[in-house]
Amino acid sequence: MKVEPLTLEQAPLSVRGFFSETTGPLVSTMGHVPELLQVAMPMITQQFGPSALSMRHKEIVILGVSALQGCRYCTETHTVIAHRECLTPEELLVLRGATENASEFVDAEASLWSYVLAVGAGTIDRSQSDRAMDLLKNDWLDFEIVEITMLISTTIMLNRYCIALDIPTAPLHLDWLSQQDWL
Amino acid sequence: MSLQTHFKKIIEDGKSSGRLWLYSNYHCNLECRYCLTASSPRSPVRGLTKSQMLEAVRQAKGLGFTSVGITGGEPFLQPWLPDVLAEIAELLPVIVLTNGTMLTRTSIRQQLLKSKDLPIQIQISVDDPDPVVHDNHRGEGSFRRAIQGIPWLIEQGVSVRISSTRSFTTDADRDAHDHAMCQWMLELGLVESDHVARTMVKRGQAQQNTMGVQVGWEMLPADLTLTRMGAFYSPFAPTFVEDRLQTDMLLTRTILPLSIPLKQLIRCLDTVSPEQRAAGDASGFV
Repeated sequence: MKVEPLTLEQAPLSVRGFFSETTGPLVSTMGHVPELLQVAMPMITQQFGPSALSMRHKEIVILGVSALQGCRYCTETHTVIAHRECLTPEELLVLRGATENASEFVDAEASLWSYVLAVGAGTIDRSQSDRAMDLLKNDWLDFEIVEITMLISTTIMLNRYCIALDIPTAPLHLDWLSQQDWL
Repeated sequence: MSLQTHFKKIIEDGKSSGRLWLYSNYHCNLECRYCLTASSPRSPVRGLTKSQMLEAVRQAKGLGFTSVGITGGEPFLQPWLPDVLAEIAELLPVIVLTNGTMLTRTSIRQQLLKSKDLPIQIQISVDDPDPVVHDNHRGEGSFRRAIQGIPWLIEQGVSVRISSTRSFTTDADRDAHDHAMCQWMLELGLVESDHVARTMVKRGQAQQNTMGVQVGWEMLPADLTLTRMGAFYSPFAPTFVEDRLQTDMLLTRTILPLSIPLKQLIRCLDTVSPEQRAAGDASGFV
């Protein structure tokens, strides 16, 4: 890791509530700037946690975008989380970019996946994203599109953060991924 | 409730002294065994700038702070410190904590003389009237260097206070020490009320050398403290162990506008119950 994570003992007074014995690397590194952690974590938790969008759909977005961005930490971590949210090994393979077979997703999920591919990659091709948006609008309401787009944006932000700071995947997740031959 | 009103109430309730502390720098010409900041001649400066300090005090006055404290490191190693002291004292009363060794410098004396009618107090650290005891903590010859400037300051009418850091475990030892300090101070021309005794806190170099007493943040006065590394809950907070900043009492990395760390300080204070505060005797740490 490029910066030293803070331990529970080193947790700043103003954000101690975010720390525990099992604090993850996002909190333990962002804790260096308490005022940033204070606003970032509620936003991240709101977007990555339960909301109007289902957890399965969220994981399609998060894992798909993370793989497109080449973020090792987020891809590995969210492979485990997406599996917990009942995505199949075949679906995980598609999201991780190991196969181009997008037929794993149908209907609303197919339009979601094409939107992720259009907007979640490094550079946005305007005509491709417009086509993806047209498809998305057939299946999703405006408020859902806003949430999906925010989730893509926040995932990209965190991808950059984790790549740049070389955030390590939790050993527990690495063990599971290794057992599944996902590494 | 406005921030000013809220802060005023906190001062009235005795939760904060109302003093804003500024760490002018972290380097020092001494290397004390119990130094909170593990300061030494080899320490990085890690200094606030002159303009940061002045702006902080301007804003502090508007927010209802009642005084300013400057500490370090050795503040007088910053060549502009006497000038800043005078400018700060035009706004709020200021106390500067020093090891006293620089107070024989002509340039510093000239500036102190110019501003002697302003509310500036010089607090000099002298741990014991016995040079051997003092030097044991602060380095060979440091007692002589610490006190050599005191008679001149008193003679010129500069306000002086003596601070001793103590680590006694029995009341009898503590009382004997205080008595000896006061006798020594009387001989210098100071009075008993010019003496302040501080409890040695187990942080920084003291922690490294297993000296001092462990304190939780609830036991310390909530005195907003600004450093180059951010804003902290207390002047006892921005300490270093093995060159690593102790972040446990960090409030924000943002120091200006001052309202940002002040809001965080108040937020933390609101989480402390009166019982927690009563459990710790903050008076010994002021």
